[in-house]
Amino acid sequence: MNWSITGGRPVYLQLIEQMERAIVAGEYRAGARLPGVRELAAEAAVNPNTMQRALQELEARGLINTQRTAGRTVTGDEARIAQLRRQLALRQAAAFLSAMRALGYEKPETLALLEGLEKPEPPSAQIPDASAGKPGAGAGTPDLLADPPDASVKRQAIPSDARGTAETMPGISANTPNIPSFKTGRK
Amino acid sequence: MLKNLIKHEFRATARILVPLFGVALVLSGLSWLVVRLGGILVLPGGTGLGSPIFGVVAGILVLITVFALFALMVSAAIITIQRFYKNLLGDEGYLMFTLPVTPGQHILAKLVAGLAWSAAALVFVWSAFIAMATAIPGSLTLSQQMAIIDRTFEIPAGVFFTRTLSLFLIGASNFYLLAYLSMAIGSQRQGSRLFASFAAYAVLNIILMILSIVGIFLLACVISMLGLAPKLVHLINSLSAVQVLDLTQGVLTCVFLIGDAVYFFLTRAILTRRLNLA
Amino acid sequence: MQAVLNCQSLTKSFGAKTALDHFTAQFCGGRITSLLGPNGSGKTTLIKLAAGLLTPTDGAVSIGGRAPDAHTKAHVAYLPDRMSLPGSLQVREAIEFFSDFYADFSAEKASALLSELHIQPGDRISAMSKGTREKLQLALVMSRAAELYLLDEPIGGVDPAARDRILDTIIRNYREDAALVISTHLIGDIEPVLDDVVMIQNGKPVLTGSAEELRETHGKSMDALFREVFKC
Repeated sequence: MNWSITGGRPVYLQLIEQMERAIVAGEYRAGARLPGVRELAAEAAVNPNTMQRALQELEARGLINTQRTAGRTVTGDEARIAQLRRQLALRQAAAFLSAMRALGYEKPETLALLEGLEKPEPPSAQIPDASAGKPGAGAGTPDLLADPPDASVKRQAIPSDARGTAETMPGISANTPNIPSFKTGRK
Repeated sequence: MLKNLIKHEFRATARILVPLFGVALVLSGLSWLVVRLGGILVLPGGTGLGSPIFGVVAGILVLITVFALFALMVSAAIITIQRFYKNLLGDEGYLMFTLPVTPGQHILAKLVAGLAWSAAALVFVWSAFIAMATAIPGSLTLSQQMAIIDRTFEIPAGVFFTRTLSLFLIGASNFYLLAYLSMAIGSQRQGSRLFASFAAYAVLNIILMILSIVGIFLLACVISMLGLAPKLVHLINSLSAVQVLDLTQGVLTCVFLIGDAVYFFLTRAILTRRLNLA
Repeated sequence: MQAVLNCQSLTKSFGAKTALDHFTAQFCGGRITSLLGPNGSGKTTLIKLAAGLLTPTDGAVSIGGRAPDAHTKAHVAYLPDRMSLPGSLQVREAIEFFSDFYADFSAEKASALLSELHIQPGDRISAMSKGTREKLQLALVMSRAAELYLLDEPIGGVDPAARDRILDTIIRNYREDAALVISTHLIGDIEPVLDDVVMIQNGKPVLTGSAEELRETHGKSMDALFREVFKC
């Protein structure tokens, strides 16, 4: 378990977050014994009182059970964990969408991008002549937000495996002819 | 707690002193052997294996042994004093003065260990001398030597040695405690503590000398004022030599004990109220 | 909460220099407090006063209501900012020493801790590196179930990996209901470990309180706060 506690944010909140993620990721399995407060605090290099507080909060959230003799265990309730997983996933997704919005990608464009990411291509499939092969790009406006659906060369943020190739491009253009409100000079 | 302190004192000082005792023992043993051999091999008339070279070697060996015995006595003293300085007033003081022990106990523990080593050294030296004396052929045997002491001092030899030893120890305790006090005073300075300790020792000795002179002078004045002089002279003349010695020992013991108490309480006060570790 | 260590208008002067100036603070059981301040701010002086190595010029310091003496020292575990163990000792002899003098010392705990730190019973202190010596001293101190732990710069002058180890050792081993006072100028490493903070400058407390509250009030980490408070 890799703890990463930073300054500036309340420690116990960070502990709760990281433990929730660990439970969801299976690092702490359902029903498994948890180490003692001191042990956990030492691992995370935090104050045992703070760790105690975090654990109590997790218990209040139904993710941990405390027994007199057996100590603390992760809940055996798989449904609860699934619920947590969904909760965290939603949070992550919302954060992702708002980060993309800050880049100018509204939800549909984001979805389109993600579709393109479905089939990750090997990095050797470069698109250096993609712009040459797409006359539309040259004729398009220099508007930064212009994103001809069939060329993603200008998008530096996209990881290499999402850089479209001549093969995937047609797929995108085939699927997105109905994208509204997308500024493109080609209209 | 005091017992534990003393135990660790012995452990720490034994590290250096036991080997020294060992060396002295070996040298003494060799000397004894050499002298004995030389004696055996000397034929009546003064000749024998005792060739000049042998005699010279034997002589040198005995000299070295005497030197070693003397060094043993001195080492015991040096180690005791240095131990106080290093263990209490140096970095180790951070450990020692946070032990659940009073400063008085620290002083006592070190004094007890120091006196034990000094006593051991003195007894060792005596034994070595007596042994070597008996090794010389034609010299007195052990019991003969003891008998001489009996006669001279009018007390059994054992008692003589015991009393001498106790007087020695009281004097040694006086010496050590004064050294401890000097070092405690010296530690009050921020820098050059060693120098300050020596300076304090010198100053204290001067003060003691002045006090003694003044004290004796006052005593003399009092005696003459009260017209006790004739009575005193008569009293002293009536005493035997042994009684004079007894009286001297008694007076010295009292003076030393008073000094011990004064030094001890002053040192303890400094270490309790004005502890100043580097 | 019962204050284990109580400082009332505590003042200590060395000649003309005042190291601690009417310092008042309480340190409670079960809480980890850091004395934060630049070098020469009075942290070490305060700790020495609590440990009984110095006597106050004015004001008072008390442990469990008592002025520091042989009785309080039995319940106070002190880690000096320097090596105080005799170099000629072996590790096992040092353990014996602590066992002899401290009733709350656990030799088993110390041995276990030392073997985790890769320190052998037969090692001689004079042959150890500086870092190892410091770990030894720390292990011995943390193997005591004291009521008050006074740690003077436990992580100063040590490499980052060793710092982690030291903090780990501290967190795992201190007695639960004891008050822990750690003096340091390295706030970054120690911040998540703290309950309370006492920032000290020129012998006076400049900011005290729980770490959590201070972070919230000032909206920044202790590290940032420290830099702000002690700006040169």
